Amino acid sequence: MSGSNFLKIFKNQFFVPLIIILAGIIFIIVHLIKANNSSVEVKIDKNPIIMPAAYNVYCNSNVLGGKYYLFKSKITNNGNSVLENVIVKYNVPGYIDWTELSTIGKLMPGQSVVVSCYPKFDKKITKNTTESVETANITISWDGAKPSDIIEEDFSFKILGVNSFAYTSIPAEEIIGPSDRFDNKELLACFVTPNDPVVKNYTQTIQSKLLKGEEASVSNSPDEVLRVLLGVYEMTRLSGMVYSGTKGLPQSLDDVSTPIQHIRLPRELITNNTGLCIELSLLYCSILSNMGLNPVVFFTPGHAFPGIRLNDGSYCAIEATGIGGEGLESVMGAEDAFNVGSQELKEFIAQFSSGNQEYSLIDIHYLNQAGITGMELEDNEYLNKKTDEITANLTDSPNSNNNGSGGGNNYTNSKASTRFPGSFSFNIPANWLTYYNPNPNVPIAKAVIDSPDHYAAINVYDIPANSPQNAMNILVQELSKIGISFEYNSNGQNIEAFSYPNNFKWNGKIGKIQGGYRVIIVGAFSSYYNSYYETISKIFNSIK
Amino acid sequence: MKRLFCFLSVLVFISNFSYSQEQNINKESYKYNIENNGNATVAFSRSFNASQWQQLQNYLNNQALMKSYLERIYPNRFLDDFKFENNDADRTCNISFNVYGYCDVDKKGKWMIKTGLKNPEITQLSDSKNEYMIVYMNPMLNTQQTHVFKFPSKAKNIKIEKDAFDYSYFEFEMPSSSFINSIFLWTGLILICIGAALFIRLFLRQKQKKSINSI
Repeated sequence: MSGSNFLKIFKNQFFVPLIIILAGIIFIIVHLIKANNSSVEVKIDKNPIIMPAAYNVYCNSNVLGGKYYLFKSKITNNGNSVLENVIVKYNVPGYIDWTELSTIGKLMPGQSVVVSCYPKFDKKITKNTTESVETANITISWDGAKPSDIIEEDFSFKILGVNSFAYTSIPAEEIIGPSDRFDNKELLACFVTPNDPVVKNYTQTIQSKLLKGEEASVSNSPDEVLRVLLGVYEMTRLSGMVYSGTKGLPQSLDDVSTPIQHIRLPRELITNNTGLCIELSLLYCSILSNMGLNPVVFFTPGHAFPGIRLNDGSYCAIEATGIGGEGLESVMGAEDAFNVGSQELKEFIAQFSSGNQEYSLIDIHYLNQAGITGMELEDNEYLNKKTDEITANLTDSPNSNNNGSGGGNNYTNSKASTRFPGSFSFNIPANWLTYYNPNPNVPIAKAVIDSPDHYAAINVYDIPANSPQNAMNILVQELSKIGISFEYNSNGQNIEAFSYPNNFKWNGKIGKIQGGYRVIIVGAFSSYYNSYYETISKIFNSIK
Repeated sequence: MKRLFCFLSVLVFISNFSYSQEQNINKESYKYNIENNGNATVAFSRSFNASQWQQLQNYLNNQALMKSYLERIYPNRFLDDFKFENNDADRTCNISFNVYGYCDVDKKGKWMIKTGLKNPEITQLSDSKNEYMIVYMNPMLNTQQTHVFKFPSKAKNIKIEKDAFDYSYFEFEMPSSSFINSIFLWTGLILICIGAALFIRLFLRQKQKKSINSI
């Protein structure tokens, strides 16, 4: 274009309005581009473990400030336009159909909302006896969203068996103190089942046969409450109930590393006549709650014992595991068990008052009021019949120690330490529980010996190999199959190791056995290694 | 919100478990500055007596522990931007943090803030119509807590309602920014109108000139 032509156009009077119209069109185009540019950011935080026993808790957003969600999501509108009718839906195939969680009327640019999911699992979830990995699917859509805009997320989580209890859901790297390791302890109240017909039957037998009537919940007299507590103990002792361990192994689930304990229900304790300290405590709570008293469970390092909160705010307690068993050295009388319980309670109050987080308690009725309730159990004729049979023959145990000389915690150490079977072996400390062939996915795992508080363990591997180096290579390979990274240094027969993500620090030895090599490693969660150092050293030195 | 009420009082309560009867009433102050985007900055402040201050040192000086406690007090929220400030001379602890999505939004687009309390005493502060105060006495923890909610200046029709369980909550409206969003559209339309008007005017004037010239 020549200069004279340009000037001609410039001087043209229509040039300015045309430019203004063009600018207007550009503004409208920019608006249309911006309006179609919707950007939603979603951040999801999930609960990796669902315990069927607590199915009544997960659906209640008011329990402990909404702590027990399946997932929480932060939805942020990073676009330039207002999103209308933002709908958040989720499902868990096989458990929960597509369910609308929330409809957000308007989500403005820059605005964040948090939507939490409290799933209503059906009661049939309590029929799960084994754990399974499930998937939750989430979709987020809004008015005018194109199919490509709709957000679809999913994550996997574990549903445990009804008897399994995970002590914490806090990721391992976030755990600060002992209270974090027992962050789920309130959910133990779900295992307290005062309305179970089997427990009711058992309670009525105590009230009629042993106590010959009681009025503890009516009179609130400390003497009467004590008589009831001793009566419950006598019932367990005279019916031949014994102390016994059950499965409880550290497990790693995503970032969470937690002891998962198999907890038998109170009805199973009554009919099988055997229980562990926590199980006995929960049985006591079920019976006492059914009687209208205020049961509590006191937790001390590696132990739990039941008690009652009196109306004046004071507590009384009993050592429920005093029943021992014929295989153990002695069986305490009720008064001895009460004396031991009182001493433990005194120690508990001293430690709790000083802020020691390893000492804590759960108040069952307080938790019930907060929405943590026991699971519903149906009547079972067979179990009732079995309960009647057990309670019909109440006899004094031949090992009963009613001389009032009991005291302290000697009974818990009454089981002497034993030696693990085999030519290349070690000493097992008293009260540690041994599980043979603990993991079918790791056939070389011969046994796991677990400390009572599950913080320390001994692992035994029998490996068919032709050299120690070959054995260690097989061990690393086998553990990696179940998601455990095992890093080690060996110096002759001795091994130092660390395993992830369960964060266990290990010491051990490798020795020749028939058909290969045996690796024995003893260790503890890294944060507890120092407190277990002495025990670990003793076990390590006993490996021969 | 209710869970936060108990925060440091619980720590004090635990540390004074054996002689809590001897304690005077403790006072805590909470300020919730609610932003236009639905997030809130929460500021907590509390003074302690000499004994409490001494006993809480392990907690107050461990920011990771404090952060962890705060996150567990708000289990179903997302928090960040934690600030901790301890004044040893005054034995005062100041904590602030950001809570994402502090306000819930219902189907009709109304914003809500749950108090977690049944029938609380709520006072509208006289100096600003968008500030409300709740004074709550927790007898178990022997603590009086003052909560001040500062709503965004754009918030309208702030009301106190009750849910099905009789828990009180604030309900209010926030104007949607649809006008700001369509500023480009309106500017464009106005410019086109102006341009068209100028064009027609010039066209008519030129036509008029031509007809005068032809006469």
